[in-house]
Amino acid sequence: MAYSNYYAASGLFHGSMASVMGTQFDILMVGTDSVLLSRVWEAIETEVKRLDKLLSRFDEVSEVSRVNREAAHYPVAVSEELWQILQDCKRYHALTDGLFDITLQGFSQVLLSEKDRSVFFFSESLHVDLGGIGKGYALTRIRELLEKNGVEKALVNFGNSSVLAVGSHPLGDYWPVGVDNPFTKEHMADLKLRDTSLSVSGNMPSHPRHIVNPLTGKFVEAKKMVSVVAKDPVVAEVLTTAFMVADEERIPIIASRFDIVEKQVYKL
Amino acid sequence: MKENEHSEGLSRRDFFKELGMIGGGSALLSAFPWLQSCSAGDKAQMAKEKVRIGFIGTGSRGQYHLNNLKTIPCAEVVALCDNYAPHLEQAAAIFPKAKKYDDYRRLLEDKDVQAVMIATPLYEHKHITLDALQAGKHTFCEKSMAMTCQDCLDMYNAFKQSGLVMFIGQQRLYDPKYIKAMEMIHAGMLGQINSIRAYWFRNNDWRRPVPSPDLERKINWRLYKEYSCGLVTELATHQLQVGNWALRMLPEKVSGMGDIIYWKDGREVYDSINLIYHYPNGVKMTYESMIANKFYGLEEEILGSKGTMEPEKGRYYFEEVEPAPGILQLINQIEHKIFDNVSFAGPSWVPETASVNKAHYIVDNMTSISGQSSVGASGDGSIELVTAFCEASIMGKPVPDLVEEAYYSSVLGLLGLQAIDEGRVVTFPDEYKIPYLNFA
Repeated sequence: MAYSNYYAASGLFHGSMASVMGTQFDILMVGTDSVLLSRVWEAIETEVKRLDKLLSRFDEVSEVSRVNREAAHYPVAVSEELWQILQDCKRYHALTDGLFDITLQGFSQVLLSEKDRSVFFFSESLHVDLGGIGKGYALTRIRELLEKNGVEKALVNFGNSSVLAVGSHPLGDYWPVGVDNPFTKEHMADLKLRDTSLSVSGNMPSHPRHIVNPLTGKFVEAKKMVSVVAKDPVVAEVLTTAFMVADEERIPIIASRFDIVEKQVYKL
Repeated sequence: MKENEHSEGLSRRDFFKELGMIGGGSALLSAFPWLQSCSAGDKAQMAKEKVRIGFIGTGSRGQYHLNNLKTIPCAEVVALCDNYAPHLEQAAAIFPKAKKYDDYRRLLEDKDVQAVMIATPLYEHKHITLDALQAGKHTFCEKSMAMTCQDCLDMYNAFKQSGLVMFIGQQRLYDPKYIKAMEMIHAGMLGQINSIRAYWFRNNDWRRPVPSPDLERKINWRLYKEYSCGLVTELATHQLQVGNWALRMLPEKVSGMGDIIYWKDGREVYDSINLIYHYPNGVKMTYESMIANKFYGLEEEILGSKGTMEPEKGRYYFEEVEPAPGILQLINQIEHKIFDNVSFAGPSWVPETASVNKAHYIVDNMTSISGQSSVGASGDGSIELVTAFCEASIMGKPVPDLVEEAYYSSVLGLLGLQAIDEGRVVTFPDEYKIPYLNFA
């Protein structure tokens, strides 16, 4: 279900989807051409729904679901788009010393064959979950749509944990976004986003342990939250997941391999 | 006397805090010009001075105001007036030092009185208000204004000519949840407003105990046509104002029906009325009041293409999707030209998909009323309204638009009654149009 509204006095378009990619989606676009903005919104709505269909492991007919069902039995040829995403996941797995792992148990058991662009699992218990990268990937696609249509100022929010800022707030030099402690509601950080993406990951009262360390198979128990701001929404997404499970010394080592604007680790 | 429901009223400081939360000062004042006396400007002078008030009509509503006045620092009640001795004595117990009068004309001659507040039965509003303005007193008169359109117009004209402060007791104009609700509606958050369904239900006979039968008409004036117009003036006017406020428009015609269906106890005013007001853009505001069932209480249901507002309950709903927390706040800030940090980022948040039509609350510190009291409830804007009157009186500055809002709600109530009594559609008469909104 989708909602959109144009606030003519302030030249602000708001679009919202109640339930997509496991969360809620909101976008604010600044501009005076409401017809153009509603066309852009329709394109974004269509694209996000398409990606949800492609990437969700909870949707039985998604391409990822087919891979999860069949790849342990025989190599499954995948679309160009999913192939590229899986290649990225492989690269990020290596760059994070195995801490970003879409299988949560050993990406080394996934065979990606360049020849027929197929996926094969060496273990029957294996499955892939693109939840840790999907929203970042969608934000990349949305940014392309915004650029293509000349939208210069926009804020995109996927369930508060993945935020893309295009240009600045209409009244300032950046989009100001605050981060609160989910346990105490205490204010923790003010981030200035401008042509950057923010990702936040952490434990919270409703889900005190939900992030698994793929190297140990254990849940992260610490009351901890991580935020990463980067140009590339996928990088921000990948690194918050990796930093949630990484120990303190490893975080700067991994961070040094990426182009990021800032990272913060909060004790809650 | 006070009806204290759900929660305590907002303190004055909270009132500004709530409003500050939704908008910048100047944007707020241009949208709600009668709030001007709340502005920070003249605060120093108001802090030093008290306005000396003469209070006329010390029955139940009067005593409700008097109790409130005790809590308003810039108010000093120096005189009380009622021609019914028991009520005057009850009021004197609240303000023992105030002079007592049984004739309002003597009170108006009192040079010590700077401003008067009138909470008499409806039939006395007009002549006391005219006399008070004539005597040079700033004047607060309870709603409705008067019993005929001509009387309302006479009051309006006298106010305009006087240069004095005049307030009519439409407290919703000062109720934070109404102000914020109207901001949201005017910003387009609910889309196009397509219908308003207003109602007020009670289940009681609207009677007060009468010490002796010869006092029946004096005490139970609300039930007799000589003194009252019944539900349209006592209840509907509050809510008709809300409809106009939401639409920023005045209806051009009205039809309706009214009957006495349950309380057949010798009363003359209807206990059941249904009205339909028609706005120039085709939107209808239906109004129903009936006092032999209270289940639905009172509300003005404002139905937009994208959402629904229930301002009495302080709630609103989206038709389809509710925006994520933080996003609405950000939209509000941009609407008010504010560049500020909004804290919404955090670990992934999964919306409750089953709660698509969950209510949102207009303000955090919410007070709502059941509408069963015919005296007044706490936290409904009454204190803020009277405080604003006191402040405006100290400054000697009339506030814009407030009397216009009240005038039209009073006249629309009376035209509704005319439609019922004459059994026809009544078009808004040109001679009663004053320059405001679409009638300007």
